[in-house]
Amino acid sequence: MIKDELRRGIIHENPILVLALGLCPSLAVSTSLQNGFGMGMAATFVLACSNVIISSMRRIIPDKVRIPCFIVVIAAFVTMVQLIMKAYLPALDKQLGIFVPLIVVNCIILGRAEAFASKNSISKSLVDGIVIGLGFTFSLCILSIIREILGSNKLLGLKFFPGYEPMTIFILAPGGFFTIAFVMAVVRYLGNRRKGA
Amino acid sequence: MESFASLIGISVSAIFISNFVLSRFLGLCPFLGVSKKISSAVGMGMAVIFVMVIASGFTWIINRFVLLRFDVEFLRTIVFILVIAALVQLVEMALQKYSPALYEALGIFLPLITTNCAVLGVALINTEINPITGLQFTFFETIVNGTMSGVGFMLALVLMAGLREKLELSNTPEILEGLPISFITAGLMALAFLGFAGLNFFA
Amino acid sequence: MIDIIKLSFMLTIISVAAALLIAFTNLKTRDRIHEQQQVAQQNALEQVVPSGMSINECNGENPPCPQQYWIAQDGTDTVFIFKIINKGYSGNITYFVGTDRNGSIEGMSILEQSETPGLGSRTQEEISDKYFWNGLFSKKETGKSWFSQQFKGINLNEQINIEKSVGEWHKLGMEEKEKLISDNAVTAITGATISTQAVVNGIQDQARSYLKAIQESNDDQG
Repeated sequence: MIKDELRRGIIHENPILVLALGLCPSLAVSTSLQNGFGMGMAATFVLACSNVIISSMRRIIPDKVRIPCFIVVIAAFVTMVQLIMKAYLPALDKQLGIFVPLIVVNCIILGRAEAFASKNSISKSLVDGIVIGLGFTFSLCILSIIREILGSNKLLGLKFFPGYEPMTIFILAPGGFFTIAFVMAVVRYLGNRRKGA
Repeated sequence: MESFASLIGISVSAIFISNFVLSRFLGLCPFLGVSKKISSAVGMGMAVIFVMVIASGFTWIINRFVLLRFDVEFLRTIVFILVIAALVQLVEMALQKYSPALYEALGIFLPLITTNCAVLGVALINTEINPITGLQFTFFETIVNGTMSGVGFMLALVLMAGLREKLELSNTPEILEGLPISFITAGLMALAFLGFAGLNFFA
Repeated sequence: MIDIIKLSFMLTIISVAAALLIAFTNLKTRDRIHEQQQVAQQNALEQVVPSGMSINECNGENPPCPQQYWIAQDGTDTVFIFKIINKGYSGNITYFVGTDRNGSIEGMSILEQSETPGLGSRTQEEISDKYFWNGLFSKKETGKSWFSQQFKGINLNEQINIEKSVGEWHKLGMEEKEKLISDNAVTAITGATISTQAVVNGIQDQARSYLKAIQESNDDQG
């Protein structure tokens, strides 16, 4: 059961690599594993919390103003995360910069609120939030690992390959686009092969 | 005169050097979603410029005269997103009533803009330090930054749409079809835009 | 009409609840955030001077200086530390520079910057000589960034040169590093000349005049 859910979030409905949602933060902060993981965790927290609250209020939120209501709930949790990060992980907060408040407009979170939490029970929504959040974190980590190793020859700030001259372009904007294109193509290739087999 | 130079600096910086899409990674969803045809790219670009200018102005006023004055900066995210959502709704209603032709052209893009991170992004960037002057943004600089960031977004979007129209006709390996090849194209564009980083407006 | 009132009522309730939640979090984290800023500043200050020196804040009256600064003392050695804010490539760079009476730089450390990741933000990059597979669980080193290390021994009263042709400081040998100091030069970060220039300019324009103000007042006192 848990295994199926995890597989759904990380593989079949992977928000970045399969559904292509939440692309802005995933390209902007995946310059190092630390940043990517921190961003993923922050988004997972917001996603799980907002899913629970929205699901618990799904019967009292009027249909006409549901989107503004969702946004308010999400924004509240994002600000919470932002303040907590500033207080306990100030270095990470500096690195992520405006992409912490921009979690508000991450289409994954609003998308799950609209498509899942507003129609399902609280416990289901909680699981959905965590699973999709983990899928987001997982793909962010993959992107960050590739970019950090190729672009600065480091992983978590420690040297990686002996005698390798890093290609800074992978840390810069173009490298972000190339990396995600490559990872998406690999995911699609693996998916095709499974279908064929 | 000083301020005129700074306005030019802000414009060039917003359009080319730190292009919203290709260098700051803001507004990628519409960049990939609405760039299949040049005509819709132009429509989306116009709508974004429109909303960005209005949102920049309003959020600057609210930030300066409400959030900073009453020391409630921690409410910034929630206030900004609500203001943007309300503005988009108002613009949509106003256009529908007073300019049906424009509404026809931009209408379908407007609802998408609330959750476009480029709009909230420009509002948040306007609260930071202006990299050209090293000071806070003034109201006029905010408006210019909003407009030019929108122009930069539209430029990237239209260029991308032009490239994708050609890509449709080309022979792409199956696993690269659709998004991956678009990302590679965007990466090459970003590479070209990286060249603008050498423009030195800062020294 | 009833409908509109109901909708706005609902939206208002949710907004107020959200604002209360945020205000509560703010109340709980405010002190801690302030404390973190103090800690970051203290760490940056300590990196400027040799360890063990006590650092005291001066309000800028005795000796007078146009800006707040810090004095670190250890026996007869005195280091003046200035806080410098200068415009970088994207936003301001804030950093500390410590110097002795003659203008010889004791240390430099970056407190805050928002430069491009992979380029200008490497002003804060620490070079680790440990590899990922054997260094991951060992204690994290809190060394200084290579970029700031190269400022030690540079004289800020003379023109500070930026050397772009020899490569980055952390890759150079002992001899080349000594030659840089005798040339009063620092190496630029590859691809981030503007950020390098901003740091150097800040030292030349601001720290130099602050130090001069202090020296003059000392001369006056005899």
